[in-house]
Amino acid sequence: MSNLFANQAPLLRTKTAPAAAALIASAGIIYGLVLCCINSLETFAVSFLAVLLAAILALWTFVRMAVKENDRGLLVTGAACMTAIIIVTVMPEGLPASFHVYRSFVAAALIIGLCVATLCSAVYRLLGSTPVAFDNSRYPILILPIVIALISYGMILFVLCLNGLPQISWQLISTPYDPANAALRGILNDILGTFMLMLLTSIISLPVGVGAGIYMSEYGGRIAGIIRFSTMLLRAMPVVVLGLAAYGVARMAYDTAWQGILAPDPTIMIGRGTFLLASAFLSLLVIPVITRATEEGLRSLPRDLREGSLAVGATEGYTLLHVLLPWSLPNILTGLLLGCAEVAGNVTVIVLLCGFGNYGVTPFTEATSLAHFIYKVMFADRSFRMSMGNYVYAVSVILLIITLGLTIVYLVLRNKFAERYRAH
Amino acid sequence: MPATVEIKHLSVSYNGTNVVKDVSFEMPAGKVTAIIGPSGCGKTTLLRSINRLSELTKNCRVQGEIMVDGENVLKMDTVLLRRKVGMVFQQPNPFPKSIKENVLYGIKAAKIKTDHSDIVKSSLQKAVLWEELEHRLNESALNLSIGQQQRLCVARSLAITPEVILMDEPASALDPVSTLKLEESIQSMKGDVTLVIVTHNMQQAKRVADYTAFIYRGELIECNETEKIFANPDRSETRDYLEGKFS
Repeated sequence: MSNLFANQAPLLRTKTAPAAAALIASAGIIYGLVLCCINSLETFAVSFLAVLLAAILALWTFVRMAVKENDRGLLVTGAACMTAIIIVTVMPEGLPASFHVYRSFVAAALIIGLCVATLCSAVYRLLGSTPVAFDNSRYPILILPIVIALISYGMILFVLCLNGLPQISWQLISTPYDPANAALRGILNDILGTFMLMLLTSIISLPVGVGAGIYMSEYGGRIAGIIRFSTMLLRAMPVVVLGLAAYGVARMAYDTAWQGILAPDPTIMIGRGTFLLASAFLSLLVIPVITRATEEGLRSLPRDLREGSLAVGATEGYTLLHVLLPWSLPNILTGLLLGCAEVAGNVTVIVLLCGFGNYGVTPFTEATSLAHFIYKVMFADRSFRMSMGNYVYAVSVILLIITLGLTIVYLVLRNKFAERYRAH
Repeated sequence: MPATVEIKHLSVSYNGTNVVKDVSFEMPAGKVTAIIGPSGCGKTTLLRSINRLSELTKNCRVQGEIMVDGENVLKMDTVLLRRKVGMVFQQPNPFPKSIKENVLYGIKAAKIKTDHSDIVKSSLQKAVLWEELEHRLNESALNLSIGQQQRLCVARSLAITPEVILMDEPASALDPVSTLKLEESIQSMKGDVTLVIVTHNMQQAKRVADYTAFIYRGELIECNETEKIFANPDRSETRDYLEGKFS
């Protein structure tokens, strides 16, 4: 039998044309990204596309001459490039005044797409046209979305820090807000309140969530089905409904035995709730996350480990405490972190409950949080906006720092637990 | 105190499929009994019914009687049963804890008050592991080699002084040297505990077992002294299997 690969074209040796094409394509990707921000650069779109077309055709000719291979992919890219030139040329600037914005976005999208395609082909040729080179040359497709995402994150961070960092002062974060005293205009209670909400919500949702997770993975059956259904329902529920329900509970608590526990002092506006009430409702969002995480963790336990414990005469309960739970600790932690991030950022559930943070931070005082601060500045009290309105960016930066710190603590803990209990 | 294990008319089915069919034989106290047979013949299922781990599988039905020390296993409390009948699995499955905690796991689970260091020492000695690990007791068991892990599992099941230890192809994941050490520990346990070993390695059965049972397609073909089975089996199927003529 003759060798099937005997007649395969020899590998490309010279690399000038692919290198040039790769350079032009890379430049084009950067140009396209910048074009999204600076619309006027659109003037050069057609001429750039013409250069790109030339590069594509040159690469195609080069491949054709050097290794007698008709690279159809390049031809298709070239045809698409030509179409793009036509589209960008004939697309009207139009009647609406902002229409050229749309045209520049269309041009940017076309340029980025075509450049990524060209870059793939060029890198493939650069790497020597081998099968492995083909796989490796597709990385631009994977990397581009990551680059775009990173640039977006970078821009968000930049805007927040640019506006927020100069406002952060020791006075701001170390004093509580007091409407009566102009000297006390800090956000201490909002910061502490955010931590209080996270703490109380964790205390409420951990036992419930972990318990439900254990039940679902260990016992199954109809009740587990009901639990699973209701946790899914909780996640799917419009959160603002929870917010309204929380407000309703706070109102009903007045003049009952629950006042002081769920609703703060009645001299404050009716409908305000305590940290405890806010956390109870927030935990409705967190419990499903922890439940699901616990269940997944328990399900990933190797059967051997559980049987090994039972086989030396340990009870189910002992096995649960000493084998199953340590094993799923990293998962539970993940659920808890996601829950705390939710609590730190959530406004909708507590939007009607929170006050201004001038009554101190205990489980039974009026709730407040950093996320709610931003809402208050934008929509609530006018005098509050006048005095504190400058600090919204500072608050966002602090919120970011808190979540960042939380994530770092989580990663360290998770790795530690995973190493200790799972290193199989 | 080693106990006799008597199996009487045992049938096990999963989802209505009979895996073990009307098997009856006896494993004498303090001796090593090997159960041999091709893959999927039901020998592991048979073994797992003795400490009732088979019940963890859904839709498993066990009929008949298994007597350990004159008591019917199927009517016992499973936790009390498993304190009498230990098990070593095919893959080493030490807990992600220290070596010492692994050995003491059963003791602590049973809340027995006793001298822990004595138990650790004697269990590891019987598992031929004490000399290697004497100074590493607080290290994680997961750092051990596969062979050491398996012998640690033997020590773990020995620590609660069971009457019977079941071994489900204990050497199938081990290299020849570790296998020999494991067999050495089996020899050192002989007499103190009744051993039941499922294996598809016939040479191993020949080396360690006093009695051998041959199971094929869920049925007991023959059970006799090992020497007799290997030298002069009663049934032609056994001879064919031992000589590798089986398909």
